[in-house]
Amino acid sequence: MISFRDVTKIYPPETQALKDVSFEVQKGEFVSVVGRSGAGKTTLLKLLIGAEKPTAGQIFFDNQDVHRLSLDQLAGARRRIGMVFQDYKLLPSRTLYENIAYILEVIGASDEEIAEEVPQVLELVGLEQRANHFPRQLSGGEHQRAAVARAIIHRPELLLADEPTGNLDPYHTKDVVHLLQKINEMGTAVILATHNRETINSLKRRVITLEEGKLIRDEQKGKFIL
Amino acid sequence: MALTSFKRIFRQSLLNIRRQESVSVAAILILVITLTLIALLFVLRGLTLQTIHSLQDQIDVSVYFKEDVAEENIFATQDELKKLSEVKEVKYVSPDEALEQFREKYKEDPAVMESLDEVGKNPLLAALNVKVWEPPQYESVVNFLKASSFSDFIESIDYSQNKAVIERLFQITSGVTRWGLGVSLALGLMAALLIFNTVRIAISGTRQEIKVMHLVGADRRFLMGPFMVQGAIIGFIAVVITLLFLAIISLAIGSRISAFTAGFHPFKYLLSNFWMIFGAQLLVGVGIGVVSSWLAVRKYLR
Repeated sequence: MISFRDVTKIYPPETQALKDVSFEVQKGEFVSVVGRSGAGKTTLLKLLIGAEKPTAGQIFFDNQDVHRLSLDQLAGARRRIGMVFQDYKLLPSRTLYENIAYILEVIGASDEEIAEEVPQVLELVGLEQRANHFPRQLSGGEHQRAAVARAIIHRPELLLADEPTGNLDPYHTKDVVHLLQKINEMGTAVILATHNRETINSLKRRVITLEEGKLIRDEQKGKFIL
Repeated sequence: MALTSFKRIFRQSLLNIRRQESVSVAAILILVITLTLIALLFVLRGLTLQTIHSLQDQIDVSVYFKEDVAEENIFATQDELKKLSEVKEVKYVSPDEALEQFREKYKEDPAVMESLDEVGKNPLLAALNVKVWEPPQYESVVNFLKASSFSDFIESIDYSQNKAVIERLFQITSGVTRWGLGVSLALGLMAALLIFNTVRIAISGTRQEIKVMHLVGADRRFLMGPFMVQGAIIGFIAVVITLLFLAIISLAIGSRISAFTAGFHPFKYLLSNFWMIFGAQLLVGVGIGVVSSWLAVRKYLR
């Protein structure tokens, strides 16, 4: 499903975010990407959704070179991906309900589907009372859960989660990780970027370890080792 | 599907306008000012042209015939003149009519009346008053008469006295047309730039949102649609406000303007040109709103 081939990313003038990174992810897989801050986790996810261009190498999503797609083709690929951004990236001028409904509107869901599914996902992340609030009215943890709700609302084929538990208390962390596992069980491939040791160790799934932009370890039932 | 998508784009545009109230109001205000300026220029041009035309109407060339020329010869000359494409109107004034007009004109002036009585007979000549469509055509009518077989009947043509006035009038007419067009174009260009900048500033506030929308999978139609429809709605609202504003103003001061401008009534002028003004304003207001939205959003997608 995903293939990174000798991917290097250098931010000018000479910050090397990724160096010769190669790996593949199959449909329905659950992969955690671990590493210290600045190891290249976020860059890797950004490259995958075409938000950044690689300095060298290629990234394939379903056999399509992500960086050779036209604007609308890229939008089409992104509609098959759900992403929890580290900085949430909620639309500030829209309410929480509208933020989540927007994804369904983009994929062409009917008004009835939207009216049915948005409240369900809000309930799932415990934000049903916040539906009509604007992002500026939400706390850090609520932002994060809203970002998760938006990423999973359309049951994407691939879910990218960049530090989705960074701002959560242990109780909500457990909930979100459980949610990711559930989605994965329903067939969505998940790539989770985190530096939360406990989360990784409890998952007992494939772990890719990055260090200073290099892939140093790729284990099927990995642990958080740095 | 297409209908749903259009409905969503339209709903989103209305929501954007409402949530960015101050930006929307500012954009509408700038558009109203610009559109009003363009419309006022149009009215001013109409006023100038009407004034010039009414002045033109008062100017003619008088062809005076010798005393002994028979009336049928004058009529024959009149018929020939009417055949000319440049000629708008030829009016025969007999010596008796000329005398009557003269008496009417100087009835308050006893000295003139006395000297007229002293002459003892009608000293005025029969004349043809010729009007043409455009001031420069007087020259060719005069040349035609001088070269024609009727030239022997003619005592004088008082064209040369009017020549300076006619030429000056022609210069003003063509100047107004040319300058009017130039100023309108310049103002139109300024309006376009002003509107483009307003839209650009309005959209730059949502730059991050546009990027996020693209990141979560919105295609160009879904991204640009709401902004373009938003531009069109703002443009349309501005056009309606401008027309209402112009209607109220021109109705309020119309009769006063009409009193000292030979019957030019701005409201009637606007009404008789309504579709042209409405069309042009819609083209400027809505067209530029849509195009600038498209250009501004496109920039953020690169």
